[in-house]
Amino acid sequence: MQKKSLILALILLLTVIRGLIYISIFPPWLAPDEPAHFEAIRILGQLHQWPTAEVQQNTPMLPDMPDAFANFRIWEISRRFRPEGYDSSNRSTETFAQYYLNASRGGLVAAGQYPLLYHSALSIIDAGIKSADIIEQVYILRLVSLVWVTLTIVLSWYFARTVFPGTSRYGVAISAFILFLPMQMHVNTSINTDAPGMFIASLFFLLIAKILIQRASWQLILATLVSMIMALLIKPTTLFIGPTFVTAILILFIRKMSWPRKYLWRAIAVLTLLVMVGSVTMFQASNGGRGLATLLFSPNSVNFGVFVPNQKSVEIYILTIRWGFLAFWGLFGWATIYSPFNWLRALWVVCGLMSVGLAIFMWRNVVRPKATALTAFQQDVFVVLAAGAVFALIGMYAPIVATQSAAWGPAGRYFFPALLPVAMLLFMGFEQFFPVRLDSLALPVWVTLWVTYDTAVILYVLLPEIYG
Amino acid sequence: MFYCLKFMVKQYVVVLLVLLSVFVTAWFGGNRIFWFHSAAYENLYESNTVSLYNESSLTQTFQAKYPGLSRIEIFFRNPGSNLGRVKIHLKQTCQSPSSLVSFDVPESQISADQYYPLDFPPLDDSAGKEYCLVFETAGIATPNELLVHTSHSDIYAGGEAQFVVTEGKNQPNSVIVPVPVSTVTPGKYIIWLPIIQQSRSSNAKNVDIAFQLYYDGPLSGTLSALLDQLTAYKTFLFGQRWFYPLIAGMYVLALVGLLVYVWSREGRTEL
Repeated sequence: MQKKSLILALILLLTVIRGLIYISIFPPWLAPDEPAHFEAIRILGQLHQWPTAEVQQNTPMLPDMPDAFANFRIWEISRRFRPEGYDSSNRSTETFAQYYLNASRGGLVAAGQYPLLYHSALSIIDAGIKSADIIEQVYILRLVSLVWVTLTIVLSWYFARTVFPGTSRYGVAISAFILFLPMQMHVNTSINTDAPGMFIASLFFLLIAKILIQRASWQLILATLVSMIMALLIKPTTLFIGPTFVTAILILFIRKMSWPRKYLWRAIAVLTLLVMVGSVTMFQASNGGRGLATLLFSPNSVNFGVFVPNQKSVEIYILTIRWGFLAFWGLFGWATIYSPFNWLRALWVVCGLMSVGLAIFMWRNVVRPKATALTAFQQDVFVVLAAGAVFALIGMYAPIVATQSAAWGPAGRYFFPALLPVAMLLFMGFEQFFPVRLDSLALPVWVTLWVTYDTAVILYVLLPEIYG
Repeated sequence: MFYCLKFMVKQYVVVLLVLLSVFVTAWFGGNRIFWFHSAAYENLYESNTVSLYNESSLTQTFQAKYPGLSRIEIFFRNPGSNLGRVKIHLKQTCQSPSSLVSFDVPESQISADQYYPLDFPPLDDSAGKEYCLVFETAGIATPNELLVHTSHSDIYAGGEAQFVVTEGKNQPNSVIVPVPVSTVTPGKYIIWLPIIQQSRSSNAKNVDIAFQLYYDGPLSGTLSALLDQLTAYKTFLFGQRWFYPLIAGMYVLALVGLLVYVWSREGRTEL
């Protein structure tokens, strides 16, 4: 076996082990919306019904569910009051909708309000484990999520190898970032749509890289379109790949026409503006984005006044930027277990430096590429990656702008479909701070940094908080 | 290539031996894990309060999950005149005549809306045991001079608070007073957690005071208690005690392998 394959095998082994660690540390239900996704899958797979809100209001939950919540101290860890009156006397009639919504802000995952491709696929497995204990069912479904995560790491590796065929450096760098990001592993090894959403978005970026660097065959374009449709049917937060695809088309068009690069920047600027305005108005008109999957729109809800900032909106934006940062780096469970704020301040500094480095990298290698080591094709890939990351950020904050409220978070996991471009871009920014003679230290320092943060999170945050 | 592989293996073994020696030293050297804590109620959320004064008494039962219970923090509110004192006893049960540890705290030392720490020598046999905190006051004649933050409802399953007001000294009839619902006071970090919206409970009988437990226990005992917690109520592999050391060992091995490779000369030049 080649050494590069050995490194990939080691990374995949680490992925599986880390996945098992996160699955075992987080008790069943202590993941964002996990109970609601589980219930939708159960109704589909075991009761063979379409989980509309009405069906969920009338379908008794599994009788062991309240005990499972109590045994794993879910309400206590989540700092929420336990629903009362759910004792053994009335468990044959109590529904999950009553039990969960009484105490949690997280809504039901109901047909007509949520795309159910992921749930439908998992319902096939769920039908086969109907007789298993409820906790076993949760673990089996979580293991399926671990498969998605592992496949995502494989895609990240091949993405880096596609862009930089001569080295495994970038494959290790972006795999390590995704692998050792604690929130990614926590969210994506639970029962929810984030794991397949990130997988399919990563597949999209791999296909785009192949189109830009190899050639735009109709098979690749078809596969890209299919991946886009699948992504939207799984997770609305992958919507950003639509304008990212348009960016790739623009690049190919301008390349084919041999137009100067400045036309590309202008087109991307216009596209970004359109995405910004379009995301906000679409959010307003589509019932929080869910209408994209259900095709239920209400144009009367559009309010362009939100684009005019005022003191209150600026305060909300600052608050939600801080919140989004926290939620990306370390806000676990039902958003009540968080990394110490001092650690986050250090991460702000690290991220700030990487952003400066990224700006330098993009200027020197993509915008004004005078003495760059990158080929024109590689430069194009970085344009797509940067556009994808920006569009994903716009998608994350569109609900905040649209509603002028901090109630939408945003959850850091909404950014995970863009994790592959983010990892690549951050590493390029990180590399800029290493002079040429110390360049070989960038990767080991990078990997060690994320391993250290992740280890500290597991030992000092997760274990004491969940099992304290 | 052969030399590089040999170098890698050598480095790998060295790093493993270092890690193993650190672990063995910690295990047999009586090292302690000091960062575990139980947060029954943090100051992040809206809270209620109960008054400590001469005619009231307050108890809170709780269960220590780890060995080495060494600190208890109580979340007080102190808008009073600071003339009195509060005595806090840690007892095995609320009815015990003797205390395991006692504290006599001048009211003036208690800051407003902050946790007050009670430190004591670690109780190495605390894992799994139930305890009771008993609050008494001296020189605080009227309500609302010194208060303890409480929950609105029973958020802590490991114990509960009892708030008792005795009408007049030496009167046999004591009255258990439901904790009055105060105006909502958001904690200072609420701005960090904008989406936390708790539902209210109708059951205001069982409340808990705002307290946190800290442990400074022996390594082996703490890990053993942690394994108990990790495996409790779980099925499949995740309910087996052997699974956790196995997976942790595999993880450390694979992690060391990756780090050794990326830091090795060969890794740095080839990658």
